[in-house]
Amino acid sequence: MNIKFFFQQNLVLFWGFIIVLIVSIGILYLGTLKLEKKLKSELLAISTEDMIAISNNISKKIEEILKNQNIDNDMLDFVLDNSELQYSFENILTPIITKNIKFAYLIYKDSSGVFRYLVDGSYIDKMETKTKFDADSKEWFEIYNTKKPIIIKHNTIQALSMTYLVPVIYNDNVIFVLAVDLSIDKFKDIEDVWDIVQYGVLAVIIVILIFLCALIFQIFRFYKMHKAVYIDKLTGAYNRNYLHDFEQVVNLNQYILAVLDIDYFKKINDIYGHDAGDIILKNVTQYLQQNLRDDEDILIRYGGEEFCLFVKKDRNHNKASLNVLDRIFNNLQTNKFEIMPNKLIQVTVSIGVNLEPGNSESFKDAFAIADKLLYEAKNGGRNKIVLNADKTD
Amino acid sequence: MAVLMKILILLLTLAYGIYGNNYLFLMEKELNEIELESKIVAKIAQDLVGQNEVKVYLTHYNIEEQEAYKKFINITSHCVEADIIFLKKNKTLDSSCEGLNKIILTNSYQQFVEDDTIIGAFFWAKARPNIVFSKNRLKQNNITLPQSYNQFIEDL
Repeated sequence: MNIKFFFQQNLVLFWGFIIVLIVSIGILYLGTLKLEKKLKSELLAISTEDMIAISNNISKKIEEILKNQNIDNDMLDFVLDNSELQYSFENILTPIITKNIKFAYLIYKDSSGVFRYLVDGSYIDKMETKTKFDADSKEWFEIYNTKKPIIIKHNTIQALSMTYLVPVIYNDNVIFVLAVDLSIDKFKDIEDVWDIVQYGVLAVIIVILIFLCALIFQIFRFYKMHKAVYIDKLTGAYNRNYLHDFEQVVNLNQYILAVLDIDYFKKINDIYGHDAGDIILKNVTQYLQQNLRDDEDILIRYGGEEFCLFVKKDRNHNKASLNVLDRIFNNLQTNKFEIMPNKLIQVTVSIGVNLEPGNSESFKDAFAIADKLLYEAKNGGRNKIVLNADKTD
Repeated sequence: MAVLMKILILLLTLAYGIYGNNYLFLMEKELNEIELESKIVAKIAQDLVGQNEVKVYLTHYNIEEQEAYKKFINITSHCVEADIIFLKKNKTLDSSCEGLNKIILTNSYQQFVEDDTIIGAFFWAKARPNIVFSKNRLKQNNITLPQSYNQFIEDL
């Protein structure tokens, strides 16, 4: 398994998760915006439910009083001339005035079709009977036809949020209109509540995003740290730490296991210096990486000048993988490395190859076989590849 | 230009209810009540006098109210110079202003009903603006308002 591929795979999952999370947060936030109108409307309905019920009851009460008058003549004229009756209506309206119910009054239409106040239950801005009333919307006229309560939502009247109109019916005709004006405070209260909800949702989203950022930061730190832990600083190859983790998960049946050692490396260090030795190590590593197959073969520097190679088998045949090693070995012999200006040297390697590491019980055993074969190569004069010849193509 | 546009919109809105089916008053959210009142009064004053440049004398209005009115109409501190006198609720005219034969408005409906010298009223009731004129008093003063005002004229 290639560490790059390992991290890439998990990164794909990780970013997929991040994208899903961000999209979910986006949907959540957009959802709250979309629900705003509906929820506010629901809140308003709940908060005005009682006012509507009370207004309907008052209208019925007034209708009942009118019925009990037993008047054959024009009821409107009768009421307009009856201050006692007007006073009783006013007493019915006055108790419903609250902080939110700003005004409650009865309106009638005179013979010219002009709206006028009949009685006013309001404490402030109290209007006298017969004072002219300029209807500000078509609903005032509609109610005379529909004979059903109507709600007017105000966009232009700054002090009021809505007006509830209830028809008072006598002899099957609308004789008065009971008007109940709701203060803008009610809307503002609902807006305030909604603001709190929105801020709450926003705060939750921000907290999630902060945690998300922290998570992303930690993931990247983890990735960087692991990269540093797994990569040999000098050569850029995987190191022993990687081998330790990789051997836990590797399927040895998929690879041939080779152990490679640079011949006479100590001598190179002694003659040319450690800097030259480092150059050789870097160049040999580079050479090996260039000749191994990307995303299939794995190169690990596990010792000073020792390398472990996992060369992937091709459909359980060794031929292709052996060809790789063969190419590495032969071409290395003709390659020269510049260790200092105008100084080129050749290096050779000894390689021990375990063709069937999968046959071993553990990686340790498989490695031991390859290592033993390397030892044979060294003892046999170096610059050799020694295979375990139990099974060969 | 913006002021003219707003007045035009106001005029169109006032003209909207010719047959009395729609009483729509322009309420601009950005204006407070006194500013809106002054805009409407300015329009009414212009239509009463029949010219754009109109001088209005405000009685018993405080400084804040006067400043608001000044944004939309010419205010004069002498009733003699005024084209229109606008009385505050239930306040009476100064003796120095009596007998000048000026057009008098009020912001009290009751005062409008009771005082024959007052030809019209603009008043707030239940947070709504109201306009009313007396047919007879307009006639007596030889004032003809545009048709858009018909819905506001009472047989008084």
